[in-house]
Amino acid sequence: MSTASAQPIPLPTDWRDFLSLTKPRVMSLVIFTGLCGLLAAPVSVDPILGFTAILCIALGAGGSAALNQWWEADLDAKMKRTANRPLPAGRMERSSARDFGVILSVLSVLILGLACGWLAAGVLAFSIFYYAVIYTIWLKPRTPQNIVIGGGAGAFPPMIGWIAATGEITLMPVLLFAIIFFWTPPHFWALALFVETDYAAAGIPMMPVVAGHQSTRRQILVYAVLLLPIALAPFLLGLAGWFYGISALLLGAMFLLLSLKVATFRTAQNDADMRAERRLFAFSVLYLFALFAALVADRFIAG
Amino acid sequence: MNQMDQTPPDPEAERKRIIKGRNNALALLLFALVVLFFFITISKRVG
Repeated sequence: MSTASAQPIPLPTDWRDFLSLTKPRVMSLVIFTGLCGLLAAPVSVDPILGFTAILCIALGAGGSAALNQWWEADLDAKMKRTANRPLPAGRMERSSARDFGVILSVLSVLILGLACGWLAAGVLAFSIFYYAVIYTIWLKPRTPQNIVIGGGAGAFPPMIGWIAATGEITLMPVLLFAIIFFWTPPHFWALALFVETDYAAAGIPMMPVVAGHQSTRRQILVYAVLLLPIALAPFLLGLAGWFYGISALLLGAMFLLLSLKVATFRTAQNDADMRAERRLFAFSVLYLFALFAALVADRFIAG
Repeated sequence: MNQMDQTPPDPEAERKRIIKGRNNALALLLFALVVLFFFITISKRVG
């Protein structure tokens, strides 16, 4: 009997593994913020075209997530949190992940262009390039500011939703972009503080690994301070109503308070269980959902 | 645990099951795309 015949032929990749390449949990936030951008725009959108825009934003996010996993398969294998993904676990060929990511990305841009215009499609194409190339390949392994710059990738969906609805780039979609951009560093650094060991093992220069905990905590506070006026800007500039203004103020105050606790309140017990960081991380997710929901609610209140 | 639970899955049956699942997922995706393109065309022509 030959050696080759003794080895089992690997099983083909299950469709669920392709689905998991798209990072469905991250996609839920992308879909939500994209939908909010679409609904908050001051125009009525054809439901089919609106649905298509959200679908394309989701497909684009899925495609760039697949490309991210294709590139980072070796790093994912070193982290407990990601070691069971299809590529590091050996359930999929690397080229399959790359091809899947490219197909999803191209398909999402083409369909969005045909349905909602080429400006929205162009911004979607750039957001995929930004995440897959600028963030994943170029900056993530090179600088502890990776999250700050990478935050731009996650900030595109509401902008694309708005442009898909209106066909133009105005101040409001830029502000929506800025809100997520400034929200991302405190959100991810809070997470990085309590999963630091994992990132260190993979050699990713996350801020807590490179600059230390205290510096990261101070920077979290800086971004939280900057986020408050940016989140209030749509109201202060007359682009959103009182409901959004009050929501942004209350949510921003809470975000700032929790960031302040992370930056200043230190005890041995708190250091051990990272309670303040965990609270900030959990609240930051709620913050973004609530803020964007308030923006859409405000639009319908205003009529 | 009974005897049935300890029996390893037949690799050939498992292979067929996975391929069938993939084919079904692909067929569903293609059908969804056709439906989507149909409705986009209607929306664009009406709008």
